[in-house]
Amino acid sequence: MLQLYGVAGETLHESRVTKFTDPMSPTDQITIRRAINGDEDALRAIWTQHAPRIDAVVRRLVGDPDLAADVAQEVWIQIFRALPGYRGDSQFSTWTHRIAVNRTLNALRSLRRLGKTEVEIEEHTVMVEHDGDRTMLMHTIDEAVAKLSPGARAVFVLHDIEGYTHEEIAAELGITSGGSKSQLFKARAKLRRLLAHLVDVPSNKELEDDVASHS
Amino acid sequence: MSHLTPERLAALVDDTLTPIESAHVTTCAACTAELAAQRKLSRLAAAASSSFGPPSSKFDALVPRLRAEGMIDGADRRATYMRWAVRIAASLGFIVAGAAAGRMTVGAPLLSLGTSTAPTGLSNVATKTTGFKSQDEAIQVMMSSQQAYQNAAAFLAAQDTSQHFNGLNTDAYRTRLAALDEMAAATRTGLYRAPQDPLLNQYYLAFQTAREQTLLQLQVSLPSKQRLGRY
Repeated sequence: MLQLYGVAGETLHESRVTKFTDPMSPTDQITIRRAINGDEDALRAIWTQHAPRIDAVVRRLVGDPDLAADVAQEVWIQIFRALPGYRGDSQFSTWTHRIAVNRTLNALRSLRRLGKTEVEIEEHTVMVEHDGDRTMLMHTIDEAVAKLSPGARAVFVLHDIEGYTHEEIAAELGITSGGSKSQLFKARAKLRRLLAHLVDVPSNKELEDDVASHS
Repeated sequence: MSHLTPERLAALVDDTLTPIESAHVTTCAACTAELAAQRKLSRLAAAASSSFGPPSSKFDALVPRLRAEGMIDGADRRATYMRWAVRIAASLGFIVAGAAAGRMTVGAPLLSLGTSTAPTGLSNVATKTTGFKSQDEAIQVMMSSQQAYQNAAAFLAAQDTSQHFNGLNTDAYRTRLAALDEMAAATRTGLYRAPQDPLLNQYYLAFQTAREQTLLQLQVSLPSKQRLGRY
């Protein structure tokens, strides 16, 4: 049987993706082998298992939902094309994630969207229902991230959401580590304004006033 | 010292305050609040990494390109599974029909398959299998019988309003899932020993596909406010 677990090999970026996925089960190995052999159901099974996470990182990097759908399609074609080259040196989810990030950044470069690192951001805040719904909360954050400039968005998504280091981001984007940091801090500062209603921590005095007004 | 800039406050999520900055922040409520807000934003961003919406891509939209690039087999495997399922069902049907016919010809009651009379029906089937003159003839009979079985099943599905053809209840789907899991486990064990066996491969994937479909059917059969956690 094809051995898909490896012990040595290239250094791979192990981002936060590895924290949320189990080690590859024997079922995964069988499914991957079927997919390499052209089995449609196995390909579908891989897509079903990994598309939510892969498409989420594509969507966050791209910003525009319609464009993200097109890029995600291309990302999946590339993943399936590359499948025979998967040697099992890293977790499958990490491997697919790396392809997704690379292909998405390439797509953005070809669209010249990463060239513009600083553009004005709409300063109105992104509203959210205060219903404690985590999905709604994350949707709001994604909407705010989509309002960043492409370069700042890429750095923020890769560093603060996906867990890349500045050195890794610099290599991916072809910028310096210092440039990555500068972009990140500007992105954070702008997101802090966009998401003020979510991140503002009331001061002690405000809390006291609030208690007094309700007593 | 003046207030910290927004970019510096953003950097302090990762960096350490200098002694001068620290002295300022401890006495400045505005900078303290800004720093707290930045740290909260960082926590929210980290939490977002495990939050996904529905996929942007659609697998069915990928299929034509995958097929065009030769990444999907030319054969329609779903159709293959269906043919296998029909063949198995047809075989079982003929065994049962043969057994019933055998029992009727010897005057035995149809529904009481006691140990003393069951071999008669089965031997009747065995006797019939020797009646073919060639493999081609047997295959032809099997194919026409298969077609007849499919036609009958289609007719019953269209006419019969009982639960057999109009959806099962939740318990039935749970039973089916448990059975499919057992069958998948058995074929998976077989695949470890014979990974290239095409028949085991087809059965394994057929069970997985059937399992997914059954899970969907089970989800639909549940009351609208109830969500499937386990079965």
